[in-house]
Amino acid sequence: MKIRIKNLNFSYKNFHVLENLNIQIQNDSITAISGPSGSGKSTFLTCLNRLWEEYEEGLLTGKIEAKIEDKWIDIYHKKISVSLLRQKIGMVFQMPNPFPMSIEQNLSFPFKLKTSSLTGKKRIQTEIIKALKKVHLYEEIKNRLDSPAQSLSGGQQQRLCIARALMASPEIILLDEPTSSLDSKAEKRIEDLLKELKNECTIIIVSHSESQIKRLADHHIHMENGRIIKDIKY
Amino acid sequence: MRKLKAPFLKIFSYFSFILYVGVFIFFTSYLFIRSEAPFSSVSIFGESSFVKAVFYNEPVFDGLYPALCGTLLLVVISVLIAVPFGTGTGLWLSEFAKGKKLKIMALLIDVLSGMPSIVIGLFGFSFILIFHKIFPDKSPGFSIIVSAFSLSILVLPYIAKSTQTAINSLDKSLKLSGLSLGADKIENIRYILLPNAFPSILSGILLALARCAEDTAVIMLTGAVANAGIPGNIFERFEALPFFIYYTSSEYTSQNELTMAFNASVLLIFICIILFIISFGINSIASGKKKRIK
Repeated sequence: MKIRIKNLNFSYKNFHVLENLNIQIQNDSITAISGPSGSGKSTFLTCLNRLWEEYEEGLLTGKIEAKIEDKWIDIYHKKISVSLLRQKIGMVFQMPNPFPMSIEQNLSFPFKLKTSSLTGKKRIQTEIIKALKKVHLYEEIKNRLDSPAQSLSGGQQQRLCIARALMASPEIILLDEPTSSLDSKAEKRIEDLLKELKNECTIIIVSHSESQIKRLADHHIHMENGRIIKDIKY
Repeated sequence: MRKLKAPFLKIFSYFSFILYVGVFIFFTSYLFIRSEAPFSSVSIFGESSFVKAVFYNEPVFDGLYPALCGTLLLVVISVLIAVPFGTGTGLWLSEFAKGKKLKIMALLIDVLSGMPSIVIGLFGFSFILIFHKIFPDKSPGFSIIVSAFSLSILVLPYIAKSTQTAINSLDKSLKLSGLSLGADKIENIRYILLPNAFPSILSGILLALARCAEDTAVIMLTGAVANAGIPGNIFERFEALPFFIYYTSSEYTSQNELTMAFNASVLLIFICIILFIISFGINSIASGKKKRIK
């Protein structure tokens, strides 16, 4: 098991966004979360890496535990470093959002946060190539790593964002509708990539597409009004 | 009735635009016509020359050079004081302040931005008097540093607001992506928010520069005089183009003196236009980049 969630409640300005969620997520699996808009799917994701704390004054009760480096940790424990936690629980957003820097700088950013500033250029290069190969982007862009990341196509940008998240060596990756802004070809590439990545990371993906969930998910949670309506393990 | 309103609004807005452009053209043409070779050596250096005035510090008595130098010096010092505090305030408003603190601070910034410059000038004037009473020997007196300090208070809200708006207008997922990768708040500001918001912040700073260059009320109460020459240090009185225009046009004794005031006006407008062009260019580059991203 990778994540244990007990009695999770989240409210914001007297609005109950998540109600009494109890979920167990298996190691190296893909968990898909579906539900209508406003059902709390994205909020649920941001509860897992504490990102909601950056922009909302919400109230969270309950317990979320994750197995990081083979140890169970309470994500909301006072002594937990939020920066380290977010390196271990990476996130990819709905819209591809590469930083307005070169492809190489985009990828070295999380690596530099993780390691000391004295890390050699060669080691960074090796890690960049490794991450790009994992997302099958290396062959497409190997000759233009110093060009702006925004010059890539939408699908390439999203794969770059996944590679960027991988640079921090996460154990869990959260994806908030990562293919909703892409065409079907780019969507397929991302899906294939996620199937490969589940061997090394636990993946939690928010998706509106029933067919995508059928293709990808080992575990499907359907939410409505902040509650779990369906919790099916395949 | 609804059918009538639309063409009326169109004609009215078109008329307003034509009126505005007409007034602008008339106004600037009038200044140019009344001036006399404002960019010439005679207008700027008088009987002296470029080499003697700039390289040998020969005093210029009948040209605009001291006022031009005073204005540029004043603008640079004011902005050097205002930029760190203005951007710092803007960052605090956009990234750290929440709830009531944010509302109160935003209100204070709005009040400060609407404060008449003469009131800020009076504040600088009072500061000099109070400082002189407490430390009679160490008072900065009426000087370029006090004028710059007062002007920086005047433009601080512009810089703070432009910084806050620039950061708030960044895409939410871009703002969060650095944090989601494990960056702390300071790293996120340094590596993601500031570089992305920089063009908009810079255009706000350039507008503040223009405001510093044109303000008269503040400097006339804190250190600007008609004939001071180029200040030797920041604790001396100084000349400035807006004060020169005000003083000369209200006290002129010959047509030549009035022409010099028009020359100074053209120079001042020229400085402001250059600042606006730079600001416009930076904004265009930034919006061009954003379009490419889309």
